[in-house]
Amino acid sequence: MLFSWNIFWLFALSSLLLWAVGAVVAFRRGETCRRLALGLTLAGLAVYVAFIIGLWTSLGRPPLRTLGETRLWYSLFMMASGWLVYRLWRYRWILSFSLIVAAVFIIINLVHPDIHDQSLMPALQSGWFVPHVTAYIFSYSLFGCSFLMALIGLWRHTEVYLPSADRLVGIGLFFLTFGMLSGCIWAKQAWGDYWTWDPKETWAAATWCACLLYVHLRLKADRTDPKGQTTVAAYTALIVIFLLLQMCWYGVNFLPSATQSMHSYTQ
Amino acid sequence: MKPLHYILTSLFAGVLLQVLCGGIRPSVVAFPLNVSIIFALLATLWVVEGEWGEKTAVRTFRSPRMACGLLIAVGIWCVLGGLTPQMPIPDDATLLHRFAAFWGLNKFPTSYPFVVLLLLLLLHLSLVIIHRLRQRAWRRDVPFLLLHGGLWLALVGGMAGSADAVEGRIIVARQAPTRSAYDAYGREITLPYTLRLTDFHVTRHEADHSPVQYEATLLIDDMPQSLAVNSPCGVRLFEDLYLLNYFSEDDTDQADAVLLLMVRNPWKPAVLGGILLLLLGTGWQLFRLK
Repeated sequence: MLFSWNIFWLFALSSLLLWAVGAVVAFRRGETCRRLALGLTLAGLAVYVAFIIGLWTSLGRPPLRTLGETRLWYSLFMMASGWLVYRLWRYRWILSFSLIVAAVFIIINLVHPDIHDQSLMPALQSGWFVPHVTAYIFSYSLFGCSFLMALIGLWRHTEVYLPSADRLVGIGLFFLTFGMLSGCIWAKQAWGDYWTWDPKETWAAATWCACLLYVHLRLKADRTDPKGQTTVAAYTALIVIFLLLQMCWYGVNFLPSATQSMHSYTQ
Repeated sequence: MKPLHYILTSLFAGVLLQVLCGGIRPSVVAFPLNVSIIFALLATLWVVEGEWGEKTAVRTFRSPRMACGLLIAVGIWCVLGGLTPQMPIPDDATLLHRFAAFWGLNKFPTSYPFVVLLLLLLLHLSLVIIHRLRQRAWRRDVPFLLLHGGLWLALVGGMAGSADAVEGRIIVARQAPTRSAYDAYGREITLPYTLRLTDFHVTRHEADHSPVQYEATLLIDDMPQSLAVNSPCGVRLFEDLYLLNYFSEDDTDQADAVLLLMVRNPWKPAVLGGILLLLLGTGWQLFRLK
């Protein structure tokens, strides 16, 4: 088998190197440096995507089943979101912060790779599997970026990051909603109910509520709060969204209620 | 009254009901009571919005501040429910577990405080939608109506559906046909059709021989039908059969019997409609982002 977790380190380190150089170059002023930073980050993404495609092909199934595999996608989407934010709004720090978050998940996979069996269990044999999981993980990465913006915004006592966070949350909310609702339709096909308040679903509902709260807070800010009194509340909501989605993603597995979850596929 | 007062008062009423009555049995609002309540609620809110729409109380109830308060309350209740194992309290339960059970958190989806919060959310959504419709502003704000209307429909379908849905487990064997399903309390449900297993097949992965798919073929009133995991079979309008498990005496892939789940839910189209409207609304909103 050409592509396996055994050679992950090679692709991971190459990508990390390209992303790190790109993040450093991004701090230098000038259009050439900006283009170079974008190009290096994109090259790192291409290397990383090559590994995922290779792994997908050799496993004979999409690598989306276990925590280790979702970490793979999260680090990819985290850097892709960072690249997109840098390209659109030119925050020079975003590549470094995205790199730190992505690197944490890559290092966890390098240290604890969670090498898995070959096939996908019957419960996961569905056309909804890939769109449901990838949409969720992509939204997680966007909320990861908005979380970083919230930290910086609170630290610098400025509201300048909120318009960008609005866009990230706008896109993230679409993917989060799509992930959740495609999960509902899939659950109906698999278990007979659209929503069963399974522990994972409960945390997903809490995360969705927090996202909607952010959107409503920002609407309220536009209408009745021109002085930006809700800025701290909005940044806090972004932090809460990030914490809740960590719970929804893997934190729920460490709770006593996890034993009742229908979303446990790793055992 | 401020939004916080509405929410806290309702929550207090919910907690009081929970302490006095225990959890809710959804079947108490089964058809036709649920449909009557929905129509009465909508008609009342339509009149309230038309007659007293500009009164402070009504404006407060449909305000974004109310939406924020409700989202925080529902979110907090979900977090508390997510932290609490969803099971009846055992005899050796810890003090913390007993305290959580006192609030209904160990069965939080059917606890009064949570249902009261969802009803409040439903009222808020209804008022917001009726307000927009009465203003005839729907043309300029289609995504708003799609999003709020979708959530309203999904909530109504889910809540009313839990009252009207019937679920039963059926063991279907090769030897003799059956027409009995059993609900969660072991009560028999007689099916208007017979079921018999004729074939069962396990598809295995070529490399490691792990199961990839289970597929059963049944005779439903002498008509062959196949069903598999993630691929239920619709037997009647709003009634589907799901393959849950199989039984084999000699541990081979040849099953002697299969365990099926029968789900009868007339509110299925309402929930699906709500989901599709929500998807359309969020997609539309994304399209409008610049």
